[in-house]
Amino acid sequence: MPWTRQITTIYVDRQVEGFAQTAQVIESLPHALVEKVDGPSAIHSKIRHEADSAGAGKKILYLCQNKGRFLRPCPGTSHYSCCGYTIAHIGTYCPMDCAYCVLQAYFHPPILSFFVNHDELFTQLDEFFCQKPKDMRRVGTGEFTDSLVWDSVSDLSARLVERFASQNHAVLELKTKTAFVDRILGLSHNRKTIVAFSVNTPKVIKEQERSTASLAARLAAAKKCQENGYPLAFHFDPLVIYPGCEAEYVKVVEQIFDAVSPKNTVWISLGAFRCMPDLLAIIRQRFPASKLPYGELIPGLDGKMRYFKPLRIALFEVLIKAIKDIAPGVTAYFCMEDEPAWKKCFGFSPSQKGGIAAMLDEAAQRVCGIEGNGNR
Amino acid sequence: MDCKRITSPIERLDEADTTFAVTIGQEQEALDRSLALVGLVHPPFVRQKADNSFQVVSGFARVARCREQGWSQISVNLLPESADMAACACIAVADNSGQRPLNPMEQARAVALLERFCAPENLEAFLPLVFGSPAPLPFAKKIAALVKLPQSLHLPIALGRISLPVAQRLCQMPQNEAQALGGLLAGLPLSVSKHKEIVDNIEQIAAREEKSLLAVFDEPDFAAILLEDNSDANVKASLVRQWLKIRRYPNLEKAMQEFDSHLAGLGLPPSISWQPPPFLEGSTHRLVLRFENRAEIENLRDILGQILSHPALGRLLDE
Ligand code: SF4
Repeated sequence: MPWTRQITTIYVDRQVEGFAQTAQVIESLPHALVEKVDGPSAIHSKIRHEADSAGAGKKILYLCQNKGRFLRPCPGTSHYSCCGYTIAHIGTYCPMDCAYCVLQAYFHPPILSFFVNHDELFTQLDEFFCQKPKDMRRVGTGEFTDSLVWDSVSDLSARLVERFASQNHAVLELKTKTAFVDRILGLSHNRKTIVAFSVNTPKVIKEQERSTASLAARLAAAKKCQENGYPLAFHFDPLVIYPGCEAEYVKVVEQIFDAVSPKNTVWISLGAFRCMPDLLAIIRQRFPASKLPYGELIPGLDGKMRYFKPLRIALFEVLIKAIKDIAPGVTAYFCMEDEPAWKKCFGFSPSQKGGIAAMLDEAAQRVCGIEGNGNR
Repeated sequence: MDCKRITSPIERLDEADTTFAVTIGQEQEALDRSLALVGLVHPPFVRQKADNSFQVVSGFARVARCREQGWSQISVNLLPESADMAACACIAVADNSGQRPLNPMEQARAVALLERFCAPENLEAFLPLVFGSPAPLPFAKKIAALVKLPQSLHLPIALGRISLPVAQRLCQMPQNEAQALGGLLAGLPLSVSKHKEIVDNIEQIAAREEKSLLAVFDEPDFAAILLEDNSDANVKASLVRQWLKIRRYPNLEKAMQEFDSHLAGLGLPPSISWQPPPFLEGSTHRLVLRFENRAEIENLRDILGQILSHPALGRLLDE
C-alpha cells in the first residue's frame, strides 16, 4: 500500500492555509480529512495518548512552517568523527517504519510533518549559494525524514534538484529507502544532486524496515538515476550484526556494482547500528520480533548503545575489503566511528586526509564537479 | 459504623475464609509479646455469615495467634448487618494500614480487595487508605496485579526479597516463568539493580534465541549452578550473574577475561591499578599510582619502565 493511503487526516496549520504547497499536498491525498489547527499542541496531545504513538504519528500529516533555519549543521555526536554535513530541514518523521529509526524517539511525540513554506527555504538557499560557506558543501534533506518519500505529494525534490543545478558550490544529497525516483528523472540536474540509497541485506530490509522498497527495487531505481546522469551514493546504515551477515553484506556490495558504476558513485558510508538507550524499549514494544535490542550492545562514549567494538570492526573490515576489491576508487567512510577504528579498518585516520568533511568534499568535486575548496 | 463488642467461641470464626485477608510478611513476635502481657488489646472485626459463623474482616494474624495459643474464647467487633462487602473491604484495609505502612504485597492485596468490592467509580477515592495519600488509579492497578503472581512469590515480595520493580516485571511473564525466575531471585541476596540485570539478561537471551525463559533455566551449565546446594547465597548469586553475562555478551566477556589475563601477566603491584576504558570502547586507559614518598615514586618509575617493555602491553593497548 502506498504510504499516502495510510494518512487519515491532514492537519493544516492556519498559518499555511493559503500556501501553494498546502494545496498541492491536500490535492495529492484526496481520501484524507482536512482539519485546520492553531499550532501542533492539539495534535500532540491526541497522538501522545495513543498506545502506539510512534505508529499513530505516521498516519496523520501536519502541514506547517519551518520557523527556524532550513539549513543547519548536522549535530553529529560527541567522541566520534562526523562528516560535517548540512541538513536541509524539510520535514520531520517518516511514513515508512524502520525498527531502528531514531526518529521514533527523537520527537515527543513523533508526528509526520512537512514544512510548506518553500519560498522561505529557497530564499535561504539563495543566500547560502551567495555566501558559499566553505564548511557547508554537502546538503541533505534525509536527516529528519526520507528525502524522496515526499515526492508523492510534493514537487520539492524536483525544485531543489533544479536549484542546485544552477550553482557549483554544493551538492544536494537526496537520501532514501524508497525506489520512488520518477519525479526527479528527466530534470536538468547538472550532477549537483546525488541520489543516495540506504541499503541493507534483504533479511534486514524484510525484518526491520516496514514499508520500504526492496533492495532490488532500490538498486533498479539507482540504475535509472545513473542512466539519467545522476551521481549516486550508498549508505550501509545501520549495519546489523547477525550470524552470516558478513557474506550477505558483501553480496549487497556486489549487487550494487552489478547495477551501477563505481565511477558514478560519490561515496559509500558505513555505520553500525547505534541508538539512544530509550529507543531499545520502543523497538521491543513496536517490533517484538526484532532482534536488534539483543545484539551485543554496550554504551558508547556518547551514551548511545552500539555493538561491542571488535564486532563492529570485524564486519567493517569485511565490507571495506569488498568495496576496495570491487570499487577501489569510491570514497568509503564511517558514520560515527573513532580514529582508532578508522586506522584499523582503513589504514589511516581522517585527520591525515584533512578530516572526513574534506574527504567527502573532494569526492563531490571529483564526481559531481563542485568547485574546489582552495586552501581549506 | 457501630460495632458490637462481643466475646465469641474462637471456633465460630471461619478460619478458611480469607476473603478480606491483607496481612502478609509481618513480624509475629511483637504480637505474641503483647498477647502474653496484656491480652487482646485490639479485637478483630468480624461479620456474621448466613450460616451463623463469623467471617474475619480484619485481624487475621491476631485470630491465628490466639488460636495457636489455645484460646477458646475471643473478643471481637461484630459489624452491623448494614455493613456491606464494600464497607467491610474498606474496614479491612483501613484497620491494617492504620497500624503500619503496608508492604507492596499487602498494598496489592488491599487494592485488589477494594477493586473487587467497591464500585469502580469510588475506587480512586479509597486509595489513600492503601497508600497513605492519593494515588493514580493506573499505578494502583499495576500494584494490584501482583496478587496474580504465583502464591510462592507473595511472601518474598512482602519481605522485600523481590523488589517492587522486579515483581512488576514478573507480572508480565507467564506464570511458570515468573515462578522460576522469582524463585531464583528470592534466593539471591542482591541489590535491585543486580536483580534487574539478571531479569534483563535471561529475558534477552531467551528473546534473542526465540526460546522460553525456562529453556534458559534448563541449559545444563546453568541448571547445574541452580541445583548446586551452595550454602553461601552470595557465591551462588555471583555464579548466576557471571554465567548470564557470558551467555548474553559472549564476545565482550571473553575480551574482558583476556584483558584481565594479560593484565595479570604484567604482575602489577598493589600500588598500581589499571582501569581499561569502559566496555573496551574508547582508547583511554587509566593508571592509578599510589605512593607515600619519593622512594616509592622512584620504585613506581622503575616498574613503569618494565611495563613499557613487557610483551603483554601491546595486547592490553590493542596495538
Ligand atoms: S526510512 Fe529512514 S526516516 Fe523513514 S522510518 Fe526508516 S529510518 Fe526512519
